[in-house]
Amino acid sequence: MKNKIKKILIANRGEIAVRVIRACRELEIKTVAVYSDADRAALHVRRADEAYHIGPSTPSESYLNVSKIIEVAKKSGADAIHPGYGFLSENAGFAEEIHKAGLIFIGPDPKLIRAMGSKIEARKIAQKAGVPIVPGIERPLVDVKEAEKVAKEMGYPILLKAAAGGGGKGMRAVHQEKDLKSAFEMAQSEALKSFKDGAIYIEKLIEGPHHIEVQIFGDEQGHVMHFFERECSIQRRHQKVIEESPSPFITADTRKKICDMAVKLCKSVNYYNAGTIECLVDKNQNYYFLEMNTRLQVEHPVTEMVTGVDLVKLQILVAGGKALPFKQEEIRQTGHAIECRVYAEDPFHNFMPSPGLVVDQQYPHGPGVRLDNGIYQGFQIPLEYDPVLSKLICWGRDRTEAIERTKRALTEYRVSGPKTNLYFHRKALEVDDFVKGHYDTHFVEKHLENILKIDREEKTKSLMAAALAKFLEEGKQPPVGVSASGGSPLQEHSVWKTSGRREGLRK
Amino acid sequence: MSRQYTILIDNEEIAVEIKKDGEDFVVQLGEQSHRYQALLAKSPIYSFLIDDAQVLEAEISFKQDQCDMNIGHVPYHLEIFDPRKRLLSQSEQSGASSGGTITAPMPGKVVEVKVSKGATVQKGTPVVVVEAMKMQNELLSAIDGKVEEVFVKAGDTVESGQKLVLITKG
Repeated sequence: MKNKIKKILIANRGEIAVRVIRACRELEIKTVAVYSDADRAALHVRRADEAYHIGPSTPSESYLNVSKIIEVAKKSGADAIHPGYGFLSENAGFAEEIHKAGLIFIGPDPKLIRAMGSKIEARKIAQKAGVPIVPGIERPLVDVKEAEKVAKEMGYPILLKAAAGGGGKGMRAVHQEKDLKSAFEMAQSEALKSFKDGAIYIEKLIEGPHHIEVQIFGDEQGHVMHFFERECSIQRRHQKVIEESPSPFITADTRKKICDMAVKLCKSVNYYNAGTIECLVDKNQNYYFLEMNTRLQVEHPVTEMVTGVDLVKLQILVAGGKALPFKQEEIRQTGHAIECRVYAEDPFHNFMPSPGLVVDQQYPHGPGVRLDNGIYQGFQIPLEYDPVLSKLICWGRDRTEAIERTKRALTEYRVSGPKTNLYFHRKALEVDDFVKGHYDTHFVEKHLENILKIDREEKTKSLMAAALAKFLEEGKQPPVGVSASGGSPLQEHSVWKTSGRREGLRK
Repeated sequence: MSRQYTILIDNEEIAVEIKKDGEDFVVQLGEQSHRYQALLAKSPIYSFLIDDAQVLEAEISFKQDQCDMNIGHVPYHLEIFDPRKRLLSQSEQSGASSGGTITAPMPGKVVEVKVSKGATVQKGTPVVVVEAMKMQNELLSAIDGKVEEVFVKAGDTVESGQKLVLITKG
């Protein structure tokens, strides 16, 4: 039996680092944050017990710097490292180095990361375990010439994917031969940058699919169990945007089959700690194993909301050598949960990233609302990292209530400064196909125009507000140059006095 | 007492008039008119009460005539100015925008410049790849033409709005 974990270094940033700190606090485990130049005053640093600077803002020199992170772990006296998601979370070499340093890696064995984390290896393992897979070749492409040849044989559309990838990085769908070369180059360059591994593989693109994944958990005693599925079909550029559990699409029969398949697959390799089996499910409920993520997922909170289990605490427990404290039949999906990923991006301008200063923030509260947040008012959002600012997760007794609640919480939630996709979320949840649960991974492209349509009346009132704000703004300054009707703008209104008075009355 | 403004948004000019009425403001835009009260006006955070009923929460910030605003989660970028001032600026602007200047849509890093000076490009030709928040964004030429000037190289860090490539029609 391993010793009890007393201090954890979190090798990550943003909302997930904050999330892990929360679990540690509840378990009375000390927390060690690491940070880059850009994150000197980040929320995860401010929430931790200890914090160590690990280098410049460029991820390769800080959050991907294995030796530096391990050095800090030793220096701080941490006995375990939680990798979060992204960065080094699926880097087997990192886990190995942690073991070599005599520390605990909160995740599976490096061998399992290597096998299951590589899409190509994982497909072989799945095939051996009798699990259906999507057609494709089982080794990385040598070059763009080979990509062209294989794509031609397989028939377009095809999908290029980084072998070490995840979260849509290094992934490109190609519908015609003429787009292949540039797509291949971009996928490779993104893969190299994000994962230090430029291996790209190719598979047939299944059209009209659902992206459904099963949360699984194993312990070192050989138990494997599942925590049901998450429906993650609302995606843009292969990046998940909205997730929910249970899936409104799959039947009870499919649910059982997929969950059993996930457990079988993980048992076949003696998997332990948290993992996710991602599947494609077509409109006829046929399912294919897609890949495995050997780490905690961004969208793990929807599972936590419907099962009532804190998955991060469970990760820490299992990493400490304990057996899973539940039996499969004790885990149930109760009610319904929806997660909206809040990104710093401008949906009205092709979702361009929008880093910058957070001027103001108003959090959603109230029944059934959870916010996993990584920023605060006054924080400068760096341009070097993921655009995820926070995740809004709402629970309801049923799907209808979960949707109503999410919409309500979204109206309360405001982030001023960076542009966000909050409007996108609010409107997406009103789309009939979403309300009815009739959607697949093409939802965003199909409905985007409609989602981003702005009501004329709303726009008119907004423009009026802009003009009035300008008027009030001008009134604050001493009169300069010409004024409209001869009078000084300063004397033209007394709103400063009156608004002060109104505020006084409200208190 | 009243004040006129011109709003320039998406290449459209809109006239707005603000009339002060006691502590309220009557705002006129085209045929439409609404009564506004400023409940809170602490730049950039505003809260307006429209027609004594509807609450409108807004984030509005100005840089001279440039205005960035966020209302109901919708980001707007517009210009607001005194209509008389425009007569001056119009003459300065004419002739400047006949070509196609590619500017950085957000702060980021130039990953690749796909064209060099003198190259012929078509509308839709990828010109520059800019990376921000780990996503690569291909910036395309908006016109058919010739690359007149390249202002950046791979590896450069660029600010939002910074000129990257100048393309002239031809």
